[in-house]
Amino acid sequence: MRCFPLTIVGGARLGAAEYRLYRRKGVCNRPAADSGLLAELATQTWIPPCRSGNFRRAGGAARSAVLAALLAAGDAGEPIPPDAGILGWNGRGCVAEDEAYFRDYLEHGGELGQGRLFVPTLPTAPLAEAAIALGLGGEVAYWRTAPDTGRLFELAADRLRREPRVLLLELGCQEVTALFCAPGSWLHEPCSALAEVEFPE
Amino acid sequence: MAEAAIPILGCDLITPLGHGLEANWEGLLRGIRPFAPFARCELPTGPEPRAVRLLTELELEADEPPVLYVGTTVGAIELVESAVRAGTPPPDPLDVLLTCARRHFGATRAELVSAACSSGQAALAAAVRAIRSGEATRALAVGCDAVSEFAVSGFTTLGAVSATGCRPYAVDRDGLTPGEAAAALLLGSPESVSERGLPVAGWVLGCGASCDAEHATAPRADGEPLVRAIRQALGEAGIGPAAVSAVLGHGTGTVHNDAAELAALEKLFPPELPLLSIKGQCGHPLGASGLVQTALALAVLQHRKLPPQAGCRHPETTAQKRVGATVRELGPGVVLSLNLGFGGLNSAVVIGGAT
Repeated sequence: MRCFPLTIVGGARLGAAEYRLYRRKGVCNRPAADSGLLAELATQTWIPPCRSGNFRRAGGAARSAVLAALLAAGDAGEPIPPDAGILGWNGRGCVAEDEAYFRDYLEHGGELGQGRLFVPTLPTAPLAEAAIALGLGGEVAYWRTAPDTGRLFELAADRLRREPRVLLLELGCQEVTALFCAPGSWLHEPCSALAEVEFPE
Repeated sequence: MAEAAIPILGCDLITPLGHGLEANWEGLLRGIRPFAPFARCELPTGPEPRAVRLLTELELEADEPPVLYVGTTVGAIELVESAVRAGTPPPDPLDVLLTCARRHFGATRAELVSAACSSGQAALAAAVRAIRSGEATRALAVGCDAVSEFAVSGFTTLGAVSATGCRPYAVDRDGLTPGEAAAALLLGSPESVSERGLPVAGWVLGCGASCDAEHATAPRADGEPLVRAIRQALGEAGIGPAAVSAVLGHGTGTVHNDAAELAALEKLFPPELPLLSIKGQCGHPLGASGLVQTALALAVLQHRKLPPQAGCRHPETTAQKRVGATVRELGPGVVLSLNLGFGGLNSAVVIGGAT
């Protein structure tokens, strides 16, 4: 166990069929379609308002990031300061988006690609969409480090020296984990992915 | 509150202007624009992806193994291109570049930071924080992106590529010129550098970052979030806007980027503060931009001159007093380097001279 100078104020783990919240606990079934889940969350008073104009046009990773960030923000139960930042970490990267863009480009004669497929090829694209949705104006960056959540939480603690909150986002192959962190104290046994961080039962 | 200034022990860079700080400085002074039609570096041929060949041209040795931060947008993306053509699963282009960088520089630990076109300065900020926290006594920030069919086609699709060569801050600007570069800055802890009496090329005084939270690609027009990032960097440096002697801007030559950047500068600095975008000669090297800029800031500070703005014959109204057609002498002060990345990812770094 290591002690990190932060605390998790809200979190969400979003899968294809259900989602789990860190503070509120429990498992909730979700609509299969991302737009259906967004519509459902829009009716919940504990979910903060969000800008969702680009949601339908955004790629799957961006939609998952926005939904997980919304759920984590709602779970926090407090207004998220507008100067909070986002730290994306490891996960599946964006190779799938790279392939999708370039394959489409070649299939259409190799002259022009599609902008809606090109933009998601940046690993920060889903993070930026989450920032837009929640109005987060702090630093946004994607990190790739050794698979060690201890390292991730060191980075988060460093960010919290400059920002009041930081949202950690890991876009995995099966699920997305989003954790809002604040300065504090937290005992954690490092593991290899945010997806493995235990949520309280 | 001011944070500790971090010494820069050395740098190296390779751009379409050449290899090394001196070659690039001379190229900037001469105003050459090696666009044909993109801005490519002269590289040895080889089977490795272009980004790897770029990165491995860098020559920068540390007196002890450093921790390494690599800033890139698409890494060794050629591997995705060839895999898709062959119908085979591609390797992760970010992992490939990171692994190569770790091996090339003999790093004890290597991590990748991606923040769109602000990646290089994000890597530099990470290196600064590693030194300040006491985590490392040597930290290397490397930025690298190569011209690729992938990126060129993508930017063309977005309507972002100039038909005639980028014209940063020009009233008739019409887009960017795809470019490539690799650059590296080696940082040391002030205590160890002082103990060993090592020569210092310059100082990283402050870093700042922000997000527009506005649009997936276009920057926020009023430049306010960039102003925040600049204020953060100046705050870390413990100085105000009056201490800045020149700005190395992001200046891609797109309508929206340059407008947002100029709007931010107008809010903070007098209209005659000199401004230069190296993209007028290097093209847009994406994630490598910031480290090319901060390396060239060392030359600006050494010579106390700012090269002319290539490609800009008719500056935008708010740039008329900032960009110059000739070499300008600079007064005392620091250099501010700016990047604006897709998704509204802003970065500001303050560089001080060796003395």
